[in-house]
Amino acid sequence: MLPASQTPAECPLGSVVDGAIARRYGESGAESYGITAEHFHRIVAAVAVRYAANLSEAERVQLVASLRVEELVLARACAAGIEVAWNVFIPRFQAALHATACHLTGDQASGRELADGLNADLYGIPNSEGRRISKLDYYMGRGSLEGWLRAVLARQHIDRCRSHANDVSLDERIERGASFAASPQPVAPAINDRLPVAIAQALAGLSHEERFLLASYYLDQRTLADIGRQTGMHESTVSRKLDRLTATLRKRVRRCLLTAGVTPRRCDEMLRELDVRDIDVDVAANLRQERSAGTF
Amino acid sequence: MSHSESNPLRRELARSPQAGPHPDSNLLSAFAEGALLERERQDVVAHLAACVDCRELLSLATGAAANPVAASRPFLLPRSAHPPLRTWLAWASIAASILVVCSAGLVYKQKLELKQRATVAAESAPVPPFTTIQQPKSPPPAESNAIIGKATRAPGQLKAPLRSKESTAEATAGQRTAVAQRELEASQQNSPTQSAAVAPAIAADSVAKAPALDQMNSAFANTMTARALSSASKDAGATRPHWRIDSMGQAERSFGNGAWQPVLPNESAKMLVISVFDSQVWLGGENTRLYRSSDNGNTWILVPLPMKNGGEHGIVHIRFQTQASGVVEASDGTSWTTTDGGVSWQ
Repeated sequence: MLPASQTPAECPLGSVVDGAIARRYGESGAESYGITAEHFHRIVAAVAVRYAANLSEAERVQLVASLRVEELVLARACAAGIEVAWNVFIPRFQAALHATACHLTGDQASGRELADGLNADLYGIPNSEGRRISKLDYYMGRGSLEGWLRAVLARQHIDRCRSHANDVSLDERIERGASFAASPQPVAPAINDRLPVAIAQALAGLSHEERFLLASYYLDQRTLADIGRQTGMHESTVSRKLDRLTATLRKRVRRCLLTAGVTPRRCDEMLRELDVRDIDVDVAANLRQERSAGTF
Repeated sequence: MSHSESNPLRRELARSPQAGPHPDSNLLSAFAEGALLERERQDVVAHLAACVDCRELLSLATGAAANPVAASRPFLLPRSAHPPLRTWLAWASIAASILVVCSAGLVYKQKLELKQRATVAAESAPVPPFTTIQQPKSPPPAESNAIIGKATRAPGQLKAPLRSKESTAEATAGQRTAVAQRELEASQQNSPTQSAAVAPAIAADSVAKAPALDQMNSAFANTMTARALSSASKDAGATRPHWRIDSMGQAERSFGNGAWQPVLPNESAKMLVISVFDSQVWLGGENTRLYRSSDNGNTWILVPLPMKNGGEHGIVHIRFQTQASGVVEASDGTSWTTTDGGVSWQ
């Protein structure tokens, strides 16, 4: 039986959305875990309330239709400690979990350690009140359960890396022979003041997706295949888009410079410095930039 | 890894706007799987464009999905990085390519066969350029008419494509070919007994191949028709003469042995057209020259035409509907008609 605290109270989703939720009960397989239609409705409604607060009714219906209800009820059933659900979950996802962990860490031992840590979180750790809190409660059925597990593993891996980096003191590292080079001072190029303004204007005209592509490729040094996997595009499509983007960007910067009164010859001289491919970037500094915001 | 940001564009790119709250693992994994609503996707992309942390997380998660260890287990297979439609499209494009190549091969093979047939037929029953049409001696067909266009000198070049090429180069010759084609068709329609009885096999073959021939040029179709008639005359009598006009404007005759003899060696005017109707052979040329032969070209009679529109004319068309009535046309449109077998002209 699912704990009552997992389901929201009243959620005014509308009769159409309620109908859409009810229609998905049959395909969810919730009955096999002893989840009633009412409980199922509460589970899905909780997801809809979380993500569809600002959505129209049609979008809410679309959201409900896109949910992976079968995996959602499996996760909720596992979180509730239903043995039948674990019997389904373990053979289906356990090996994948270990494989992903090994891939992330790069070795079997660390991978097993990472996967075991997540397994414990998935099973649930008793809180101060003695109630077991499972990480599977946070799965919302938006994507596949396996994809979500990978994302959670990746997040935990990053957290472990960061925490382990702080475990070793500077003295210990120096004793072990580590040397630290002075961080390179950014070369201050002698550029016209109008250039940064023109670049900022040109970048402001880009869409978020274009900016994401540029940042992934030129700042994060991701491969085309990586970006393709993230965006669901073929890598050749990513390549073409990047080529078009850089060409468009140069044109826009040039236009901005010309508008600002720079001569065409001087424009060409300045644009030679703008080839994003031949100059490196401080990736670590960028990583540090964004570390303050919370989650939504 | 530490790098300097010495490029102004990269510096501006790295100076991201405020990224806002991070999307949770649900949204990131759903984004990678393309399962978000469009509005949600835009929000996530906007955040990713500005947040290196989330880009790194997304890269790690999707990179792990692509690792071969996981892919080796069926139930561990990550959702395809590309929508299923793309896989389907890839196979469909391959199938379409194969289909196109096969179709092109079939069409090419069909054309090659037609060409080979034409070549074989032309070699077995040589037809001089611009279709010299022979008529059987006995019994003569009820109605038959043909006009022969200007010929080229090369006697060995008898292939239809060559004729077609040359006829294209010479406009007047092309016009005559077209007229000949029309008149041959009319002739076939007017005398169905001849085409069906004398050359049933080849005529039937020509009719059966008509749709395919539509795609070929008119000269080739003309050749096919001429081949049928030529074969018919061959069946009817082995001594049918072949006619042609060489590039010098000399009318020539051959009996199928490859030797061509001029029939009017003393005529200085260039001949432009030959027409055979029953036993009558008509020759037309420059300076209003019109000759008639009733014995397959052994003897010729110069037929005087009354003066019309002043000066001399070049005879380019000779058409006889019956043995008695016919029309002769000059290149400038001047025409003469006869209703008494060429004794008098108007």
